[in-house]
Amino acid sequence: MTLSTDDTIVAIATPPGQGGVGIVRLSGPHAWEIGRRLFARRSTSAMRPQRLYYGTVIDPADGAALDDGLIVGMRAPHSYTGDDVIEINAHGSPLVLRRIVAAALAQGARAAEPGEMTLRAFLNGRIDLAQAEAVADLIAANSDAAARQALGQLEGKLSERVRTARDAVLRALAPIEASIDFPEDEVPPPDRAALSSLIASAETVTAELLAGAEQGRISREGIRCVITGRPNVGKSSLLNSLLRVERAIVTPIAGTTRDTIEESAIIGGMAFHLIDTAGITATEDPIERIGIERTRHALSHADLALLVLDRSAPLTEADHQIAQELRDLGFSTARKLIVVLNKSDLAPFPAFGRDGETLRRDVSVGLRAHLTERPPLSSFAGEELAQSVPVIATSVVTGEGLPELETAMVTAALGNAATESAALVARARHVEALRGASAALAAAQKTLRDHLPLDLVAEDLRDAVYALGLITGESVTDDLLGAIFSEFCIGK
Amino acid sequence: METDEINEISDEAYDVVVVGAGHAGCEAALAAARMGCRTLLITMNLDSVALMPCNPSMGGPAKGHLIREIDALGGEIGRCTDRTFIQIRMLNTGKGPSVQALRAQCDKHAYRLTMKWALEAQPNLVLRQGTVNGLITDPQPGPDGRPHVRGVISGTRRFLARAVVLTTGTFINGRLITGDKTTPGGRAGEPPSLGLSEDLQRVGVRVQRLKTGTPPRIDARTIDFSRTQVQPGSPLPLRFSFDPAPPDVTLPPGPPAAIYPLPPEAVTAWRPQLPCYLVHTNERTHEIIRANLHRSPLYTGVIKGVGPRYCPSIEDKVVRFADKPDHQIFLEPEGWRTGEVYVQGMNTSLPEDVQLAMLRSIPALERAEIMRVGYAVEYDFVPPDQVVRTLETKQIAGLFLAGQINGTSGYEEAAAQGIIAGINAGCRVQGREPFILRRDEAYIGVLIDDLTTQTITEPYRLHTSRAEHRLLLRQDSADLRLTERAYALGLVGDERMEAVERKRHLAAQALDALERTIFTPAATIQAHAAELGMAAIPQKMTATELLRRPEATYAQVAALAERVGQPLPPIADAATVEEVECRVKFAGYIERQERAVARAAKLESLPLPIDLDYASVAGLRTQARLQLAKIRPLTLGQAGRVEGVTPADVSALLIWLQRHARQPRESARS
Repeated sequence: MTLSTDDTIVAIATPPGQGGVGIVRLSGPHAWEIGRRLFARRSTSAMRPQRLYYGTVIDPADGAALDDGLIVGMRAPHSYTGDDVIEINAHGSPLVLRRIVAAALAQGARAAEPGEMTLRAFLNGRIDLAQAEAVADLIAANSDAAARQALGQLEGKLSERVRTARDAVLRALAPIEASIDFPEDEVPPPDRAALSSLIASAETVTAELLAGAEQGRISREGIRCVITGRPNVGKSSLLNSLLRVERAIVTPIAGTTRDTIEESAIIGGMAFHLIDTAGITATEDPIERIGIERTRHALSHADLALLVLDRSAPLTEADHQIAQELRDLGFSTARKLIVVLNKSDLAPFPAFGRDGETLRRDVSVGLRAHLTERPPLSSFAGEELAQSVPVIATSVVTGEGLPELETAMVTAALGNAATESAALVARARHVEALRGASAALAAAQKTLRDHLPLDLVAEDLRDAVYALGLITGESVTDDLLGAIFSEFCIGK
Repeated sequence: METDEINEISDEAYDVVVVGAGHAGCEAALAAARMGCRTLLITMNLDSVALMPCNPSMGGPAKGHLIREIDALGGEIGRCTDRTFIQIRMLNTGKGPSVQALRAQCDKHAYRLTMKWALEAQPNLVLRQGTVNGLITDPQPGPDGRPHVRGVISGTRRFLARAVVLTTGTFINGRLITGDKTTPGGRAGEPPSLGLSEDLQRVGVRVQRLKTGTPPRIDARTIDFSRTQVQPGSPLPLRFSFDPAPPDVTLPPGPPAAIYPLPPEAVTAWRPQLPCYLVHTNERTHEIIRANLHRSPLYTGVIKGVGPRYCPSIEDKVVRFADKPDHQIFLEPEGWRTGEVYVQGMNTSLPEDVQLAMLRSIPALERAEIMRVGYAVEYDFVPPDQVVRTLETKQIAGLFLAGQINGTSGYEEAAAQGIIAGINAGCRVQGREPFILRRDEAYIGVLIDDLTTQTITEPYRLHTSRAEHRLLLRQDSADLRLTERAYALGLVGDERMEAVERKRHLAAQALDALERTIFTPAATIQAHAAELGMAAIPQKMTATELLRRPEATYAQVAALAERVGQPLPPIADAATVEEVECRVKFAGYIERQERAVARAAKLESLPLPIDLDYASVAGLRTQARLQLAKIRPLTLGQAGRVEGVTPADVSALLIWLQRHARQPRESARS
């Protein structure tokens, strides 16, 4: 019913941002095993609990050194969560910490859901009131209206897919269960080959969804969102703000050049690949021209662009140029665009107006007022913009408008069929449920092949229905009985 | 003065009063009395004690499991069935051991009399005829905020009690319906119980209506048995009870009635049995039903209660499965020496003339005469979200409900609730801890947990598919699971407990020996294996590994071990053999289910207060808030099973619990 507590989870335990030291925490039965694989140190003596060891954090996949750091282990129940725990202290760079998390994921850990470490501490009776409040806040944040609505749409689409798998399993299960519970009724004996092919059809769905959920694939194929705008409008701080509110950590991909910075975040349950670009300006400087080419390249592969403007200053030639570039690349028509009026904590530039309700009109007017002499852009900035492009005022200082921006990003992403399926199952809970279902289906096939009694096949299939029901929120019994009674005439 | 004296005389005081002597009431009263409580069992008609108003059949999948569990707890239903069955069979023999189940056909009247005699023979138990028409409750709420029940009123008499168990079946505001005829009644020929429903509502209990039905009974002498298919009883000895003593059979004296043909293949040496007889409906039967649907109270709207999906009327079957050319009809003798035959599968509330016409459309029944007409019954039940897992009502302390009043169907379901209500009434009187069975411990636990967390929309019947952990709940392991707990309460004697301990010990010994016994592929061993009909041993393996082969049996493996000089403990008892074989063959499955149980145990053990103000719990979604406030689960685990409650809601409740533990009741009260 709830998150499982017998697997190993990983998360960055220190607050986001550039601190002196950052901690990656692993909690669960395999914490020590995974922790040891992530750590190379000279001494080969056995690690003892509550002791700090110095060494090199490595990615066991290729042996690459990630950082120098300290490792400390705690044994259940003497730890923060009450589980076996490993904490890796590294230098505080977010990139390094995420790489360590990624390596832990690759070694079999699961990304912790928000508040999950604290939840385990609860379950193991190791928590104080202040921490309890913190978890309550996290859950509340998860259920705030805007995020929930966006998530609701997403989960609706996921549930649809999961339901097709679940229905197939129920169809396999119904004749078995009917023949068990109503042995004297005329229930035709279940056909093993038919069962196997129904199970296989469910396996196909879970395999597809799981493939989409693989962390690496989300990084590669998540929604590519380019943050663009002239220098000094607050692109980087906006990126940081979006990362600060990220819901889970996924594999980072380092930027390929100094000019574009790429980060991944889960927003509203969907994976976003955020790309901070250099501004596009008319320049003869060959180095800057390379930067601009790269920006163009990033834009041409993006699913979504955020055009960041400075609301406290008049629009400039550079704003205009970027807007034109976006229009030429098909944003706002074939691809999605969101206009972000940043720095809304400062006094707005008069042409943008003050009133939130008239903001959309104001920005159109504002753009028009400044750019009327350039017809192509005015049409972009006029009607078309007003019709289909969300305009959102934000302040990375006060946090104003960030939830609305996230919602708009998720909504924009949902409209894009190509990105949807890759992003569908980003939540750890869903991945866990799908893995459970997939294992149960494989077990059912094996039980069938081994010619064991059908009630054992039923046990596997019920596990699968249960796991899939964790996503769709349906219970095994009611639906199973519904399937039995609608399909077979049972009457004692 | 004078009237006071009369009251003094007519007031009788008991520890526990049980109202209704059906299958729930009998087990409740026996359990309370066996625990040492002075117990009164009061019922409207002493000739209807433990009556089987529907099919005189006991057991089947899940239901047979319940009987074994009740028996393991010291209940009477298993022993009473063993003494009175006219046929017994093991069902699901082609399937795995967890779903095999016993089903018996009882002599309806022998059963009733045998159970009545068990009640009369029970010390501490008083059996009385009378109609209860009111409850006595304290006018003021007690320390837990609820009024306490103080007894029941029967006419002008008052029976005082410290706990009351209501097992009123279909009698509360019962209404019998055949065609366009409606008569008030709890069962055919018996009046309903009026007044109690109003009294329950007066103390704040909600009631709703349900419907169930029963088929006609026909005269055996008017059946052409030559045109039926004979279904004989088991050729091997079978019985429900774990009691080491074999049952003393209490059927009516003499051989079975000669009207029932007993072909040689249906004669069973170990105990005389009667067969059942199978026939089928045909297109003509269905035509008659379709032509008369307008006269069916189900379709005319006379019946408003909801009927069960698993026990549809014949009219429902014909309408819903229109393309099915025939339906099975089992003709089941209602007893050893009676010509009344139960027409199973022909459950109906169509008018009598239609019932007769459709019966006579079946070749074997062309001359059939009806002895009793089929009917539907509509009755009040108390939606069981109003009871907790001890079956005590949430509104009234000391008042327990069991059986059909809780919206269930079936003798076994009723008896299971009866024994739990009776035990808990006893626990309450004796100041003991509540007696609760978990879903992973017993089908009884599944039944009661479902009742207290799910919304009942049709009469509830237990199915094995309702249990998450079927492999842990085999019928043959009920004694291992439950008898020790019954023993602690005085419900079973030393002899039963010792038998369980022997079985447990022997199984453990055998498992240990299997693990330590090693077979090598040596030629001598191969030769022995071949002689015993076993496949070759390809490499060195333990006896456990050998037994894990699908076709291998303990007897075979033991024989092989014997021949190579490493004898395994001999096991004579089939149930113990099965315990050992299951533990070995299905070890992977059992371990998986045990892990799942252990994982859920943490949540199951966290109690939620019954008066929790869900509006004050931060982070709960509205739907969860409403459902939880209605169902009021008692543990966090139960809360998770309530419809519409998500894992996030469970987390929110966890946090609330933590806070509550730190700021105890003072702040909650102020």
